[in-house]
Amino acid sequence: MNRPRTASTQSVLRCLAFRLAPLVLAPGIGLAVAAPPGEVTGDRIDQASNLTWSPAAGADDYNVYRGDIAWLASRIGAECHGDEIAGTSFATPANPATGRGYFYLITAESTAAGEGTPGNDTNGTPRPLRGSCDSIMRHHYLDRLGYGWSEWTRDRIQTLGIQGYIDEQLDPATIDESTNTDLVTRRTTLVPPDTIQELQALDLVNAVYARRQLEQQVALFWDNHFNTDYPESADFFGFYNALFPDKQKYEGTKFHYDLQNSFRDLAFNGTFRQIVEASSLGPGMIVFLDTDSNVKSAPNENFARELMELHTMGVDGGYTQQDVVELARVFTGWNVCKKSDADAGDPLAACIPRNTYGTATEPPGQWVRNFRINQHDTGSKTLFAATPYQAIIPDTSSNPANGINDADLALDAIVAHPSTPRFIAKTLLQRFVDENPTQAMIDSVVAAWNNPANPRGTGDLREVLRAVLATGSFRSPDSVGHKIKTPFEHVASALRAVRGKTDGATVTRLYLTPLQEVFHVNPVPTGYSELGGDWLDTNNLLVRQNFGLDLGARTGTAFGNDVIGLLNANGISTAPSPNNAAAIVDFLSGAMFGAALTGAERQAAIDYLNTDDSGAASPYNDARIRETAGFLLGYPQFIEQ
Amino acid sequence: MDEPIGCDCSRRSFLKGAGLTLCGFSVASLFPGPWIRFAMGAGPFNNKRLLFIFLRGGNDGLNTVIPGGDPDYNTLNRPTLYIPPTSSIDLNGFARLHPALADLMEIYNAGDLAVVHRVGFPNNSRSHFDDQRTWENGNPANPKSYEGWLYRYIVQNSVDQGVRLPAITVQALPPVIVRGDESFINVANPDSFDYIFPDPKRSKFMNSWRNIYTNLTGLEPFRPALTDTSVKLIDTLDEYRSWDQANWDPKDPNTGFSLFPVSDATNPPDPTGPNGKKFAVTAYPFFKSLKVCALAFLESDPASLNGTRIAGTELNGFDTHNSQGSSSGAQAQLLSWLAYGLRSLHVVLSGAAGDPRAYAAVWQDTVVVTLSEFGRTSKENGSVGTDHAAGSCLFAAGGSVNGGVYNCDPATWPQGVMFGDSGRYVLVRTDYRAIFWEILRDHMGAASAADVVFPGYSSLGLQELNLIG
Repeated sequence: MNRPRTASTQSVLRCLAFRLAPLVLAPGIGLAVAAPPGEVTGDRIDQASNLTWSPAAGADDYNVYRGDIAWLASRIGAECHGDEIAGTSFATPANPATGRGYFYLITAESTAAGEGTPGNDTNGTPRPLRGSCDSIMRHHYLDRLGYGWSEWTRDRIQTLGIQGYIDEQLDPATIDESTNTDLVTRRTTLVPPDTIQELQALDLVNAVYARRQLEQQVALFWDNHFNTDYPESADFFGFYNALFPDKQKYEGTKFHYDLQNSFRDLAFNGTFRQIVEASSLGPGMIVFLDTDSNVKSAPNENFARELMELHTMGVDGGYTQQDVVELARVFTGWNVCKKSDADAGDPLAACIPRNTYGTATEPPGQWVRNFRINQHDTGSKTLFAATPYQAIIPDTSSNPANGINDADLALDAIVAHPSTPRFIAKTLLQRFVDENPTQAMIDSVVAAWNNPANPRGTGDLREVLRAVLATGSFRSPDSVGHKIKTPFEHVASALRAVRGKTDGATVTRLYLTPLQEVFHVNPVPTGYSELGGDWLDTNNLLVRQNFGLDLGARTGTAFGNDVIGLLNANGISTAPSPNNAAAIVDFLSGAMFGAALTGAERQAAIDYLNTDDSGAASPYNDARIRETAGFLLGYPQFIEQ
Repeated sequence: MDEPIGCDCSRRSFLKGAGLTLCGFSVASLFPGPWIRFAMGAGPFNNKRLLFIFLRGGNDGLNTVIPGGDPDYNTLNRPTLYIPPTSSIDLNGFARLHPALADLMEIYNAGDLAVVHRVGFPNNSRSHFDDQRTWENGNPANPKSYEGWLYRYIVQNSVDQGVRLPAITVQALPPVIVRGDESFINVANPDSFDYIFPDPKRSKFMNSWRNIYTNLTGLEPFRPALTDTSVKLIDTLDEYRSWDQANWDPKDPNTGFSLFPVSDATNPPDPTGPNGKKFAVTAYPFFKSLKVCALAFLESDPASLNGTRIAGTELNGFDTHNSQGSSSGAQAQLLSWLAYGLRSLHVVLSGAAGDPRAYAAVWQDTVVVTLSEFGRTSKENGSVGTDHAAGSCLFAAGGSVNGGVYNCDPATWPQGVMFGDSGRYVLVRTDYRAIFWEILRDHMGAASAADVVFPGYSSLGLQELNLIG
C-alpha cells in the first residue's frame, strides 16, 4: 500500500503541488456491471502544472478535486476543481500562496452509473470530498442563473442537462408558467401592483416561484442598473394626495412597474440602445434624476452625469465635465405629463391640462414622456469633442420641433462610444461571473456585443447575456463560492430550498429592510452593489442567520417553510425512529448548497438534529427538523454563491 | 497548536509586536486567529477617541458656512438659495453659520469647535461613488481601492490589539473607511442586534456556528472574511446587550429633553415643528446611530477591555440637485439634525447629561469630525438646487480641538475663491488628508508614519492647520 507522499520541510517553503500515489484497487472483482468506475490511478503533475492520469475502465469523464495540503492532517475534504473532464489531463496553472501546497484527487464518472470512488486513505476510510462535482456545479449554475435550487429546476436540469437548461432560460418565452400554480395564484393579487409594497412583493414572489429564473435575475439587474426611487415618483403625484391617495400610490408605483416590464422584455428581445432609451425617457427616470426640471434657461446636470457615469460609459469612460454640460442641454425640455390614451405615444402631443389633475373630472389617460419645444435648448451640442467619437448635434433653431431628436442622437453617440460595451460587459460579468472580470472576459463579451450576426444587431442583449454565461470562468468549478449572495438572493434562495411559502411582502418588511436591500426605494442613483465586500458585515450576517432561524420556525402561508413535505416527497423519512438524521441533513444540505460540507460541518448539523436545546441527545421531531434546516441556512456555504 | 485555517492573520503590526522575522511561511500557519490576539497583549492604554459622521450626497459648504465677506456670495449667483446676514449666525465677522446649525454655537463658544472650509482634494471626479470612496480610502491616486484609512490607522497602530471592540460603525452597510482584511462591528439595526431566540436555544446554534465559522477552510475568497465577521459578531453580542441601548435616554440638564430623539416619546415638543415635534420621524435613525456610537465610547472604560476608540455613522440626503432650500428646506433640515446631534454628543460625552447611569466624561479625549464627498456648485442651477462640485466645509469638535474658523476669513478667502476652480466651484485650500492626519497624529497619538495611513502623504507637502492642541 502506498502512503501519500508528504513534502519535505524544504519544499514546504516553496510553492509546490505534490501528488498522491493512490491505492490501486483490483477492478471488477465482486462488482456489479452497472457500478461506478473504480479508483483513478497513475495521476501525476508536471512542472507546467498539467495533471494527467491513467484512464479508468467504464469512465465517460473525470472530476478533479483540489485541496490545501494543510487539510490532509484533519481529513478535511477536497473541493471540486475540474468538472466532467473528457480526457485524462487537466491543466491547473493556479499557484498556491507561498508556504502552501495543493493536493489533487481524481474520480472517474460513468453517465449510467455515476461517480466512482476517490479511493481510501492510509487508514482505509474513503478520502473525503466536499460534495461531488456534479451537485456542486449544478448548484453553482442554479445560484448564478437564478435564485438557487428548487425541485422543479432540479428536475428540469435532469431532463435538459446544464447546457439545455441554460439555453431554455435564455428564451423565457418558451418556458410555460401557466401550470405554475405557486406563481399564478400569488400573482393574481399582485399584478398590477397598486402600491410599491406590492411591486416589492411581486419581485420576491417572482424570484421564489418563477420557472423563468434567469428572466427575473436579469429584469432586476437592469432595474437596479437603471435605479429609480419610488418616493420621488410618489412626490410627483402629490396633487392626487388629498382626493385620491390610492391613485397617487398606484400611478407612482406604475412608473417603476412599467420600467421593469420594459427591461424584462428588452433584456431578451432588444438591444442596449433600446433599453437605455426606455430608461432615460421613462417617466420614472425623468422624475428621479430631475430631467423634468432641466430647462434651457437653467440646465440641471443630474441626469446627464448619471447617464454617462452609471448607465453607459462608467466613471472612467472618458467623458468630461463639458460633456455633462452638453448632454444636460440635450435633454432640456423633456418632462412627464398626462395624455389621452390616443396621444400617449406622441411626446409632442398636447397634455391634459394640469388643472384637471387630482379632480373628480380628470379625463382618462396615461402619464407619459412629454417634450416641451419651448423649454428645449435648440443650439448645437458637441459630445466627445476632439475625440474619434465626437458627435455634433445640429442646431434646431430653424425648426425647434426637431429638438426632440437630440436625445436620440446623443444616445446613439453614447452607445456607440467603445466605453459603453466595455462598461456594460464588466457590469454583467460582475453580476453573473466574477467580481474582477479579466480583460479577456470583457473582450469576449464586447465581441458578442459587436457581432454582425446578432439577430437584433449591435448590443443584442440576449446574445450579450449568452456570451457572459459562456465565459470559461462561469463554467469553472473555481468560480464556485466566489461571490456572496446579495440579501435579496439570500432570502429568495432560502425560501426556494425549503419549499418556502411567501406572500413577498412579509419577508420584504421583516428581513429585506434590515438587510438593507429593498428595491425601488434606493435614493442613490448607483443602485445596490453587486460586490460581496459591500454587503458582508456583522449586521448582514446576523440578519441572514436570524432570517434562516425564523424561516425554520414558521410554517404559515405568508412566511413559512414546508421542510417536512419537501423531505417526505423526496423519499426521506422524517419519522423519529429509526434515526434518519444523516439522510435528512444530506438532503437539506444538498438542496441548499450542493452538500459542499466537510465531515465536521456535516456532523455538526446531524448533532444539532439529534440533541435538544441543552445539547442532550434526544429524538428529533418535525419542529426540530425544521429548526435544523434554519440552522443549516446559517452556514457560510449558503451565504456564498 | 490548532491551525486557524481560513484566517488571513497577516497583521504587520502583530508581527512587529511578536518580534519575529519570517520568510516564506504564511503567518496563518503559526498564529491563532484574531479572537485570541486579545490575550497576547498590546501597548499602553490609550483612550483617545474619534467619531466620524459622513454626510452623504455632497454637502453644499457655501450655505453651511457662508463666506459672507465674499462679494460673490450674492443673489445674482444664488437667487433663491442666498441666505442673508440677518438669517445666519456671525462667526468671525466674515463667515456666517447656517441658522439651522444654531445648536453648534454652544460648542463653538466653548472653544471646542473647528469650522474648516475649502476642504477637498485635487481633481475630484464629482462622482458620488468615487469621491466618497476617496474620502474613505485616503488615496486619491487609487479611487477604486476599498481599504480605509482608518482601517490602516487601526492596524498600523495596534488599536485592535488586546481589546474586544476597537471600532464600531452604526449604519446601513460597512463603510469603506474601516474596511480592510479584518472586519469590525457594524450595527445597522440597533434595536435588534442579537439572535432572535433566547437561551438555551440561542447558545446551541450560536456555539455550533461559532465552531463552524472558526474552523472554516476552503479556497473561496470570502472565507477569511466570513470567519472574522462571524466570530466578531458572536463575541460582541453579549457586550452589546449589556449596554441596553433601548433603555438609555440621556437628557439635556436644563430642558429635560432627550438628547437623542429616537421615537415620538423622546422627540422634544415644538409647536412649529412637524406634528408638534422638533424633528421629523425620518431623523430617528440618525439620532439612534449617534446614540449607539456615544454609548460605545461611554461603555468603553478601562475595566471593560472594549478599547473602543473609533465609532462612526452617516447621514444621507445631501445630494440637493433639486429644491435645496436656503435657511429652511431640505438641506436646512439635515443640518438641524447634525447640529442637535453634535451638541448632544458634547453634552453627553462631557458627563453633563441628566443620566442615572452617570458615565465618566470622555469629551476631553474625543474628536467628532464630519466628512462629505464634495461641495456643490457656487452658482444655483435651474431647479433651485446645486450640482456636484469640489471643496466643501467640515466640522471637528472635541475637548482637544483648537476651536475657531479656518480658511474662511479675509486672509484665506479672497474674492475669486468661490469660482476659483474651473470657474464653477470653491477652490480647495486644505487637503482632507492633512486634516485627518493631524487628528490621528496629534489627538489619537498615532505612532506610525503618515504614509502608511495616507499613501504618499510625506511627499505631498500638505499644509496642516494646527487643529489640535
